[in-house]
Amino acid sequence: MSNKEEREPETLLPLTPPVFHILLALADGQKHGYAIMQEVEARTGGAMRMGPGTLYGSIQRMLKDGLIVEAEARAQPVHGEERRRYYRLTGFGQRVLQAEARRLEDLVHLAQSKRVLPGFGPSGGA
Amino acid sequence: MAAPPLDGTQGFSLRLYRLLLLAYPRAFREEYGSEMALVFSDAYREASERHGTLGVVHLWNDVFVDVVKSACLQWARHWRERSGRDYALAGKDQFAMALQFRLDVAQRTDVGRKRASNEDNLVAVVPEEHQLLQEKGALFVVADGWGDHEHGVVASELTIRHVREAYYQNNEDDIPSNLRKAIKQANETIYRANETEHAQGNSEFDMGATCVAAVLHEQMLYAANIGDSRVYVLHEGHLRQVTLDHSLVARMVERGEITPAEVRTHEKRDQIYRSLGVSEVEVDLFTEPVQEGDTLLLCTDGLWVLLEDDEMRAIIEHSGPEESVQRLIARAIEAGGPDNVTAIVVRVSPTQA
Repeated sequence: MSNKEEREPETLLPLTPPVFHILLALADGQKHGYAIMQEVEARTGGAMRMGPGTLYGSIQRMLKDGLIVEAEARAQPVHGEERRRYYRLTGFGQRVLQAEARRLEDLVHLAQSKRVLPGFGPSGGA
Repeated sequence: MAAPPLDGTQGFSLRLYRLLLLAYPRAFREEYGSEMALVFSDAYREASERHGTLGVVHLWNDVFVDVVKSACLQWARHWRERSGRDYALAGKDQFAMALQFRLDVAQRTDVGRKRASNEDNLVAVVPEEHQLLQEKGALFVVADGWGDHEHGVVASELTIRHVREAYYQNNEDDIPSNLRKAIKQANETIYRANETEHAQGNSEFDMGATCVAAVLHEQMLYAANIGDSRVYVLHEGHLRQVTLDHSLVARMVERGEITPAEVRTHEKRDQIYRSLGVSEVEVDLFTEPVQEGDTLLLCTDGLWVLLEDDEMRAIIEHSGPEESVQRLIARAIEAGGPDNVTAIVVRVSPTQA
Protein backbone atom coordinates (compact mmCIF):
# COMPACT_ATOMS: atom_id res chain seq x y z
CA MET A 1 0.00 0.00 0.00
CA SER A 2 1.36 3.36 -0.89
CA ASN A 3 1.91 5.85 1.86
CA LYS A 4 0.63 9.39 1.32
CA GLU A 5 4.03 10.83 2.15
CA GLU A 6 5.65 8.75 -0.58
CA ARG A 7 3.36 9.93 -3.32
CA GLU A 8 4.78 12.14 -6.03
CA PRO A 9 3.38 15.69 -5.65
CA GLU A 10 3.00 15.89 -9.43
CA THR A 11 0.27 13.27 -9.36
CA LEU A 12 -2.12 15.82 -7.86
CA LEU A 13 -1.49 18.53 -10.46
CA PRO A 14 -2.99 20.68 -11.78
CA LEU A 15 -4.76 21.85 -8.61
CA THR A 16 -8.20 23.44 -8.65
CA PRO A 17 -8.07 27.22 -7.98
CA PRO A 18 -9.62 26.93 -4.47
CA VAL A 19 -7.15 24.21 -3.43
CA PHE A 20 -4.17 26.17 -4.74
CA HIS A 21 -5.26 29.35 -2.96
CA ILE A 22 -5.96 27.58 0.33
CA LEU A 23 -2.49 26.00 0.22
CA LEU A 24 -0.97 29.42 -0.46
CA ALA A 25 -2.90 30.99 2.40
CA LEU A 26 -1.54 28.33 4.76
CA ALA A 27 2.03 28.62 3.48
CA ASP A 28 3.02 31.11 6.19
CA GLY A 29 1.34 29.40 9.10
CA GLN A 30 -1.83 27.84 10.42
CA LYS A 31 -5.12 29.64 9.96
CA HIS A 32 -8.81 29.13 10.64
CA GLY A 33 -11.47 29.08 7.93
CA TYR A 34 -12.42 32.73 7.89
CA ALA A 35 -8.79 33.87 7.95
CA ILE A 36 -8.14 31.69 4.89
CA MET A 37 -11.12 33.20 3.10
CA GLN A 38 -10.03 36.74 3.91
CA GLU A 39 -6.46 36.20 2.82
CA VAL A 40 -7.46 34.60 -0.48
CA GLU A 41 -9.88 37.40 -1.26
CA ALA A 42 -7.39 40.12 -0.32
CA ARG A 43 -4.47 38.57 -2.18
CA THR A 44 -6.46 38.10 -5.39
CA GLY A 45 -7.91 41.61 -5.20
CA GLY A 46 -11.37 40.16 -4.72
CA ALA A 47 -11.19 38.04 -7.87
CA MET A 48 -11.30 34.77 -5.94
CA ARG A 49 -14.15 34.76 -3.45
CA MET A 50 -14.92 31.46 -1.79
CA GLY A 51 -18.11 30.87 0.13
CA PRO A 52 -18.15 28.70 3.26
CA GLY A 53 -19.41 25.66 1.30
CA THR A 54 -16.63 25.79 -1.28
CA LEU A 55 -14.08 26.45 1.46
CA TYR A 56 -15.01 23.49 3.64
CA GLY A 57 -15.69 21.23 0.65
CA SER A 58 -12.09 21.86 -0.44
CA ILE A 59 -10.78 21.51 3.11
CA GLN A 60 -12.51 18.13 3.43
CA ARG A 61 -10.91 16.97 0.18
CA MET A 62 -7.48 18.30 1.18
CA LEU A 63 -7.63 16.55 4.56
CA LYS A 64 -8.36 13.28 2.77
CA ASP A 65 -5.54 13.85 0.30
CA GLY A 66 -3.13 14.52 3.15
CA LEU A 67 -2.34 18.09 2.02
CA ILE A 68 -3.39 19.68 5.31
CA VAL A 69 -4.15 18.62 8.88
CA GLU A 70 -6.12 20.17 11.66
CA ALA A 71 -3.71 22.05 13.93
CA GLU A 72 -3.85 22.03 17.70
CA ALA A 73 -5.89 25.07 18.68
CA ARG A 74 -3.40 27.72 19.74
CA ALA A 75 -5.68 30.55 20.76
CA GLN A 76 -8.10 30.65 23.64
CA PRO A 77 -11.63 31.22 22.42
CA VAL A 78 -12.48 34.93 22.50
CA HIS A 79 -15.11 35.78 25.14
CA GLY A 80 -17.15 32.63 24.99
CA GLU A 81 -17.00 32.14 21.23
CA GLU A 82 -16.94 28.61 19.94
CA ARG A 83 -13.47 27.18 19.48
CA ARG A 84 -12.35 27.53 15.87
CA ARG A 85 -10.56 24.86 13.92
CA TYR A 86 -7.13 25.79 12.60
CA TYR A 87 -5.49 24.08 9.66
CA ARG A 88 -1.87 23.78 8.64
CA LEU A 89 0.11 22.37 5.69
CA THR A 90 1.63 18.90 5.87
CA GLY A 91 5.04 18.20 4.36
CA PHE A 92 3.27 16.62 1.43
CA GLY A 93 1.02 19.68 1.07
CA GLN A 94 4.09 21.89 0.98
CA ARG A 95 5.67 19.78 -1.74
CA VAL A 96 2.46 19.81 -3.78
CA LEU A 97 2.26 23.59 -3.45
CA GLN A 98 5.87 23.93 -4.60
CA ALA A 99 5.30 21.60 -7.53
CA GLU A 100 2.22 23.56 -8.62
CA ALA A 101 4.05 26.89 -8.28
CA ARG A 102 6.92 25.50 -10.35
CA ARG A 103 4.49 24.28 -12.99
CA LEU A 104 2.92 27.75 -13.21
CA GLU A 105 6.35 29.35 -13.35
CA ASP A 106 7.29 27.13 -16.30
CA LEU A 107 4.13 28.23 -18.06
CA VAL A 108 4.86 31.89 -17.48
CA HIS A 109 8.37 31.40 -18.84
CA LEU A 110 6.96 29.66 -21.85
CA ALA A 111 4.50 32.50 -22.45
CA GLN A 112 7.37 35.00 -22.15
CA SER A 113 9.62 33.08 -24.48
CA LYS A 114 6.80 33.05 -27.03
CA ARG A 115 6.32 36.76 -26.42
CA VAL A 116 2.74 36.26 -25.26
CA LEU A 117 3.66 37.99 -22.01
CA PRO A 118 6.27 40.71 -21.65
CA GLY A 119 9.32 39.44 -19.80
CA PHE A 120 10.31 41.00 -16.50
CA GLY A 121 14.05 40.61 -16.34
CA PRO A 122 16.28 42.18 -13.67
CA SER A 123 16.41 45.49 -15.56
CA GLY A 124 12.65 45.72 -15.83
CA GLY A 125 12.03 47.30 -12.44
CA ALA A 126 8.71 47.07 -10.71
CA MET B 1 -17.30 48.30 22.03
CA ALA B 2 -21.07 47.92 22.18
CA ALA B 3 -22.74 45.26 20.08
CA PRO B 4 -23.17 46.35 16.44
CA PRO B 5 -26.56 47.94 15.70
CA LEU B 6 -27.42 45.31 13.10
CA ASP B 7 -27.55 42.58 15.72
CA GLY B 8 -31.17 41.68 15.03
CA THR B 9 -30.67 41.36 11.29
CA GLN B 10 -27.49 39.44 11.86
CA GLY B 11 -29.26 36.98 14.10
CA PHE B 12 -31.95 36.50 11.48
CA SER B 13 -29.37 36.01 8.72
CA LEU B 14 -27.49 33.47 10.76
CA ARG B 15 -30.67 31.51 11.44
CA LEU B 16 -31.46 31.57 7.74
CA TYR B 17 -27.96 30.35 6.88
CA ARG B 18 -28.26 27.50 9.39
CA LEU B 19 -31.49 26.51 7.65
CA LEU B 20 -29.71 26.54 4.29
CA LEU B 21 -27.14 24.15 5.71
CA LEU B 22 -29.90 21.53 5.60
CA ALA B 23 -29.22 21.42 1.86
CA TYR B 24 -25.98 19.51 2.56
CA PRO B 25 -25.69 15.79 3.27
CA ARG B 26 -25.91 15.13 7.00
CA ALA B 27 -22.39 13.80 7.46
CA PHE B 28 -20.88 16.92 5.89
CA ARG B 29 -23.18 19.20 7.84
CA GLU B 30 -22.33 17.55 11.12
CA GLU B 31 -18.61 17.76 10.42
CA TYR B 32 -18.39 21.31 9.08
CA GLY B 33 -21.79 22.96 9.66
CA SER B 34 -20.86 24.87 12.81
CA GLU B 35 -17.55 26.04 11.30
CA MET B 36 -19.40 27.21 8.20
CA ALA B 37 -21.93 29.12 10.31
CA LEU B 38 -19.03 30.72 12.18
CA VAL B 39 -17.39 31.78 8.93
CA PHE B 40 -20.73 33.08 7.69
CA SER B 41 -21.23 35.30 10.74
CA ASP B 42 -17.68 36.64 10.43
CA ALA B 43 -18.28 37.45 6.79
CA TYR B 44 -21.64 38.98 7.64
CA ARG B 45 -20.17 41.22 10.33
CA GLU B 46 -17.44 42.44 8.04
CA ALA B 47 -19.76 43.02 5.08
CA SER B 48 -22.25 45.02 7.09
CA GLU B 49 -19.60 47.05 8.94
CA ARG B 50 -17.73 47.95 5.80
CA HIS B 51 -20.46 48.27 3.21
CA GLY B 52 -23.76 48.43 5.12
CA THR B 53 -26.92 46.98 3.63
CA LEU B 54 -25.42 46.76 0.17
CA GLY B 55 -22.58 44.64 1.52
CA VAL B 56 -25.08 42.29 3.12
CA VAL B 57 -27.03 41.99 -0.14
CA HIS B 58 -23.82 41.09 -1.99
CA LEU B 59 -22.88 38.61 0.68
CA TRP B 60 -26.21 36.82 0.43
CA ASN B 61 -25.88 36.75 -3.30
CA ASP B 62 -22.50 35.02 -3.07
CA VAL B 63 -23.66 32.73 -0.29
CA PHE B 64 -26.68 31.46 -2.21
CA VAL B 65 -24.55 30.59 -5.22
CA ASP B 66 -22.01 28.95 -2.92
CA VAL B 67 -24.65 26.84 -1.14
CA VAL B 68 -26.19 25.61 -4.38
CA LYS B 69 -22.85 24.76 -6.01
CA SER B 70 -21.13 23.17 -3.06
CA ALA B 71 -24.24 21.29 -1.86
CA CYS B 72 -24.58 19.70 -5.31
CA LEU B 73 -20.93 18.69 -5.17
CA GLN B 74 -21.31 17.21 -1.69
CA TRP B 75 -24.35 15.18 -2.74
CA ALA B 76 -22.47 13.88 -5.76
CA ARG B 77 -19.66 12.76 -3.42
CA HIS B 78 -22.17 11.34 -0.99
CA TRP B 79 -23.82 9.15 -3.61
CA ARG B 80 -20.52 7.96 -4.97
CA GLU B 81 -19.48 6.94 -1.48
CA ARG B 82 -22.74 5.10 -1.02
CA SER B 83 -22.33 3.21 -4.26
CA GLY B 84 -20.39 0.69 -2.24
CA ARG B 85 -16.85 1.52 -3.31
CA ASP B 86 -14.02 2.30 -1.01
CA TYR B 87 -13.47 6.03 -0.94
CA ALA B 88 -10.05 5.75 0.67
CA LEU B 89 -8.40 3.96 -2.25
CA ALA B 90 -5.45 5.82 -3.65
CA GLY B 91 -4.33 6.86 -7.11
CA LYS B 92 -5.64 4.93 -10.07
CA ASP B 93 -8.47 3.34 -8.16
CA GLN B 94 -9.92 6.70 -7.26
CA PHE B 95 -9.97 7.74 -10.83
CA ALA B 96 -11.51 4.45 -11.86
CA MET B 97 -14.32 5.21 -9.49
CA ALA B 98 -15.00 8.71 -10.72
CA LEU B 99 -14.94 7.62 -14.34
CA GLN B 100 -16.71 4.39 -13.52
CA PHE B 101 -14.05 2.46 -15.40
CA ARG B 102 -10.31 2.15 -15.84
CA LEU B 103 -8.36 3.84 -18.63
CA ASP B 104 -5.22 2.39 -20.19
CA VAL B 105 -3.49 5.17 -22.06
CA ALA B 106 -0.57 5.11 -24.50
CA GLN B 107 0.74 7.98 -26.61
CA ARG B 108 3.48 8.48 -29.15
CA THR B 109 4.65 11.00 -31.71
CA ASP B 110 7.37 10.77 -34.33
CA VAL B 111 8.98 13.26 -36.70
CA GLY B 112 8.70 10.80 -39.61
CA ARG B 113 11.24 10.45 -42.41
CA LYS B 114 10.91 13.64 -44.41
CA ARG B 115 10.39 16.52 -42.02
CA ALA B 116 13.14 18.40 -40.21
CA SER B 117 11.13 18.96 -37.05
CA ASN B 118 8.12 17.52 -35.32
CA GLU B 119 5.29 20.03 -35.45
CA ASP B 120 2.83 17.57 -33.92
CA ASN B 121 2.21 17.59 -30.20
CA LEU B 122 0.04 15.72 -27.75
CA VAL B 123 -1.00 15.50 -24.13
CA ALA B 124 -2.94 12.99 -22.04
CA VAL B 125 -4.20 14.06 -18.61
CA VAL B 126 -5.87 11.78 -16.10
CA PRO B 127 -5.96 13.97 -12.96
CA GLU B 128 -5.16 12.16 -9.76
CA GLU B 129 -6.80 14.82 -7.67
CA HIS B 130 -10.12 13.25 -7.02
CA GLN B 131 -12.28 16.35 -7.09
CA LEU B 132 -10.80 17.54 -10.34
CA LEU B 133 -11.31 14.17 -11.95
CA GLN B 134 -14.91 14.05 -10.80
CA GLU B 135 -15.62 17.48 -12.14
CA LYS B 136 -13.62 17.48 -15.35
CA GLY B 137 -12.74 13.90 -16.32
CA ALA B 138 -9.70 12.83 -18.37
CA LEU B 139 -8.44 14.96 -21.27
CA PHE B 140 -6.56 13.96 -24.42
CA VAL B 141 -5.33 16.46 -27.00
CA VAL B 142 -3.51 16.14 -30.33
CA ALA B 143 -2.37 19.12 -32.41
CA ASP B 144 -0.59 19.51 -35.74
CA GLY B 145 1.10 22.89 -36.15
CA TRP B 146 2.58 24.85 -39.03
CA GLY B 147 4.54 28.05 -39.56
CA ASP B 148 7.87 29.22 -40.93
CA HIS B 149 11.13 28.73 -39.05
CA GLU B 150 9.87 26.01 -36.76
CA HIS B 151 6.91 28.06 -35.60
CA GLY B 152 4.70 25.05 -36.22
CA VAL B 153 6.39 23.55 -33.17
CA VAL B 154 5.48 26.64 -31.18
CA ALA B 155 1.88 26.65 -32.42
CA SER B 156 1.18 23.02 -31.53
CA GLU B 157 2.87 23.36 -28.17
CA LEU B 158 0.86 26.48 -27.34
CA THR B 159 -2.25 24.58 -28.38
CA ILE B 160 -1.85 21.56 -26.15
CA ARG B 161 -0.56 23.56 -23.18
CA HIS B 162 -3.34 26.11 -23.33
CA VAL B 163 -6.12 23.62 -23.91
CA ARG B 164 -4.89 21.57 -20.97
CA GLU B 165 -4.45 24.53 -18.64
CA ALA B 166 -7.64 26.29 -19.62
CA TYR B 167 -9.78 23.17 -19.57
CA TYR B 168 -8.91 22.36 -15.97
CA GLN B 169 -9.07 25.99 -14.82
CA ASN B 170 -12.30 27.02 -16.53
CA ASN B 171 -15.44 27.10 -14.47
CA GLU B 172 -18.20 26.94 -17.04
CA ASP B 173 -21.32 24.97 -16.17
CA ASP B 174 -20.68 21.90 -18.26
CA ILE B 175 -17.92 19.93 -19.94
CA PRO B 176 -18.71 20.90 -23.54
CA SER B 177 -18.65 24.62 -22.64
CA ASN B 178 -15.37 24.20 -20.76
CA LEU B 179 -13.80 22.33 -23.64
CA ARG B 180 -15.03 24.77 -26.26
CA LYS B 181 -13.81 27.72 -24.22
CA ALA B 182 -10.39 26.12 -23.65
CA ILE B 183 -9.87 25.67 -27.38
CA LYS B 184 -10.99 29.21 -28.07
CA GLN B 185 -8.49 30.43 -25.49
CA ALA B 186 -5.70 28.50 -27.20
CA ASN B 187 -6.79 30.03 -30.49
CA GLU B 188 -6.73 33.50 -28.98
CA THR B 189 -3.15 33.03 -27.76
CA ILE B 190 -1.85 31.94 -31.14
CA TYR B 191 -3.83 34.67 -32.86
CA ARG B 192 -2.32 37.30 -30.57
CA ALA B 193 1.18 35.96 -31.21
CA ASN B 194 0.51 36.29 -34.96
CA GLU B 195 -0.83 39.81 -34.51
CA THR B 196 2.19 40.81 -32.43
CA GLU B 197 4.50 39.69 -35.24
CA HIS B 198 2.43 41.60 -37.79
CA ALA B 199 2.56 44.75 -35.64
CA GLN B 200 6.34 44.43 -35.56
CA GLY B 201 6.43 44.57 -39.35
CA ASN B 202 6.69 40.83 -39.94
CA SER B 203 3.63 40.87 -42.19
CA GLU B 204 4.21 37.40 -43.63
CA PHE B 205 4.27 35.73 -40.25
CA ASP B 206 1.64 33.03 -39.88
CA MET B 207 1.49 30.09 -37.56
CA GLY B 208 -1.44 27.86 -36.73
CA ALA B 209 -2.47 24.40 -35.67
CA THR B 210 -5.17 21.78 -35.92
CA CYS B 211 -6.58 20.47 -32.67
CA VAL B 212 -8.65 17.52 -31.58
CA ALA B 213 -9.47 17.18 -27.91
CA ALA B 214 -11.38 14.37 -26.22
CA VAL B 215 -12.75 14.30 -22.69
CA LEU B 216 -13.89 11.09 -21.00
CA HIS B 217 -16.24 11.77 -18.11
CA GLU B 218 -18.81 9.46 -16.55
CA GLN B 219 -19.28 7.14 -19.52
CA MET B 220 -19.45 9.99 -22.01
CA LEU B 221 -17.03 11.04 -24.68
CA TYR B 222 -16.85 14.71 -25.66
CA ALA B 223 -14.74 15.33 -28.74
CA ALA B 224 -13.89 18.77 -30.09
CA ASN B 225 -12.32 19.42 -33.45
CA ILE B 226 -10.63 22.11 -35.51
CA GLY B 227 -8.96 21.03 -38.75
CA ASP B 228 -8.13 17.51 -39.92
CA SER B 229 -6.74 15.63 -36.94
CA ARG B 230 -9.21 12.98 -35.89
CA VAL B 231 -10.90 11.09 -33.05
CA TYR B 232 -11.99 7.51 -33.75
CA VAL B 233 -13.85 5.05 -31.52
CA LEU B 234 -13.47 1.30 -31.80
CA HIS B 235 -16.73 -0.26 -30.59
CA GLU B 236 -17.45 -3.98 -30.88
CA GLY B 237 -15.00 -4.46 -33.72
CA HIS B 238 -16.06 -1.40 -35.73
CA LEU B 239 -13.80 1.64 -36.08
CA ARG B 240 -15.76 4.85 -36.54
CA GLN B 241 -14.53 8.38 -37.16
CA VAL B 242 -16.18 10.61 -34.52
CA THR B 243 -14.95 14.04 -35.64
CA LEU B 244 -15.47 15.53 -39.09
CA ASP B 245 -12.54 17.15 -40.89
CA HIS B 246 -12.58 20.81 -41.87
CA SER B 247 -10.92 20.14 -45.18
CA LEU B 248 -11.65 20.77 -48.81
CA VAL B 249 -11.66 17.04 -49.56
CA ALA B 250 -14.11 16.33 -46.71
CA ARG B 251 -16.48 18.84 -48.32
CA MET B 252 -16.02 17.15 -51.67
CA VAL B 253 -17.00 13.83 -50.08
CA GLU B 254 -20.08 15.49 -48.59
CA ARG B 255 -21.07 16.77 -52.02
CA GLY B 256 -20.52 13.32 -53.49
CA GLU B 257 -17.70 14.50 -55.75
CA ILE B 258 -15.17 11.97 -54.47
CA THR B 259 -15.36 8.81 -52.34
CA PRO B 260 -14.08 8.71 -48.74
CA ALA B 261 -11.23 6.44 -49.88
CA GLU B 262 -10.09 9.04 -52.45
CA VAL B 263 -9.55 11.57 -49.68
CA ARG B 264 -6.22 10.00 -48.75
CA THR B 265 -4.66 10.47 -52.20
CA HIS B 266 -6.34 13.63 -53.49
CA GLU B 267 -3.93 16.37 -54.59
CA LYS B 268 -5.71 18.98 -52.47
CA ARG B 269 -5.81 16.67 -49.46
CA ASP B 270 -4.06 18.99 -47.04
CA GLN B 271 -6.12 22.10 -47.67
CA ILE B 272 -8.05 22.84 -44.49
CA TYR B 273 -10.45 25.71 -43.98
CA ARG B 274 -10.52 25.83 -40.19
CA SER B 275 -7.57 26.05 -37.79
CA LEU B 276 -6.28 27.74 -34.65
CA GLY B 277 -4.50 31.09 -34.91
CA VAL B 278 -7.34 33.15 -36.38
CA SER B 279 -9.43 36.00 -34.94
CA GLU B 280 -12.52 33.89 -34.33
CA VAL B 281 -12.87 30.13 -34.43
CA GLU B 282 -15.90 27.88 -34.33
CA VAL B 283 -15.40 24.62 -32.44
CA ASP B 284 -17.34 21.51 -33.50
CA LEU B 285 -18.35 19.23 -30.66
CA PHE B 286 -19.34 15.59 -30.77
CA THR B 287 -20.87 13.84 -27.75
CA GLU B 288 -21.55 10.15 -27.37
CA PRO B 289 -21.68 7.41 -24.73
CA VAL B 290 -18.72 5.08 -24.30
CA GLN B 291 -18.75 1.57 -22.87
CA GLU B 292 -16.33 -0.83 -21.33
CA GLY B 293 -14.28 -2.42 -24.04
CA ASP B 294 -14.35 0.65 -26.31
CA THR B 295 -11.05 2.09 -27.51
CA LEU B 296 -10.37 5.70 -28.38
CA LEU B 297 -7.85 6.78 -31.02
CA LEU B 298 -6.70 10.39 -31.49
CA CYS B 299 -4.33 11.02 -34.38
CA THR B 300 -2.95 13.59 -36.80
CA ASP B 301 -3.24 13.29 -40.56
CA GLY B 302 0.30 11.89 -40.61
CA LEU B 303 -1.32 8.65 -39.49
CA TRP B 304 -4.75 8.38 -41.04
CA VAL B 305 -3.62 9.44 -44.51
CA LEU B 306 -1.26 6.48 -44.69
CA LEU B 307 -3.32 3.76 -43.01
CA GLU B 308 -6.71 2.58 -44.19
CA ASP B 309 -9.37 2.51 -41.46
CA ASP B 310 -9.34 -1.26 -41.61
CA GLU B 311 -5.62 -1.44 -40.94
CA MET B 312 -5.91 0.92 -37.95
CA ARG B 313 -8.83 -1.13 -36.66
CA ALA B 314 -6.91 -4.41 -36.91
CA ILE B 315 -3.97 -3.00 -34.96
CA ILE B 316 -6.03 -1.43 -32.20
CA GLU B 317 -8.37 -4.36 -31.86
CA HIS B 318 -5.65 -6.96 -31.46
CA SER B 319 -3.02 -5.15 -29.37
CA GLY B 320 -3.00 -3.28 -26.09
CA PRO B 321 -2.65 0.53 -26.14
CA GLU B 322 1.15 0.61 -25.80
CA GLU B 323 1.72 -1.91 -28.56
CA SER B 324 -1.00 -0.25 -30.66
CA VAL B 325 0.66 3.17 -30.73
CA GLN B 326 4.03 1.59 -31.50
CA ARG B 327 2.63 -0.42 -34.37
CA LEU B 328 0.54 2.45 -35.76
CA ILE B 329 3.53 4.80 -35.85
CA ALA B 330 5.83 2.08 -37.20
CA ARG B 331 3.38 1.40 -40.03
CA ALA B 332 3.19 5.10 -40.96
CA ILE B 333 6.98 5.31 -41.09
CA GLU B 334 7.23 2.11 -43.09
CA ALA B 335 4.77 3.63 -45.55
CA GLY B 336 7.24 6.46 -46.18
CA GLY B 337 6.71 8.67 -43.13
CA PRO B 338 6.22 11.82 -45.22
CA ASP B 339 4.70 13.77 -42.33
CA ASN B 340 4.97 13.94 -38.55
CA VAL B 341 2.83 11.24 -37.05
CA THR B 342 1.03 11.15 -33.69
CA ALA B 343 -1.37 8.79 -31.93
CA ILE B 344 -3.01 8.44 -28.52
CA VAL B 345 -4.83 5.19 -27.76
CA VAL B 346 -7.11 4.91 -24.73
CA ARG B 347 -8.71 1.63 -23.75
CA VAL B 348 -11.78 1.74 -21.53
CA SER B 349 -11.73 -1.30 -19.23
CA PRO B 350 -13.83 -2.58 -16.34
CA THR B 351 -12.81 -1.14 -12.96
CA GLN B 352 -11.69 -4.27 -11.13
CA ALA B 353 -8.09 -5.31 -11.66
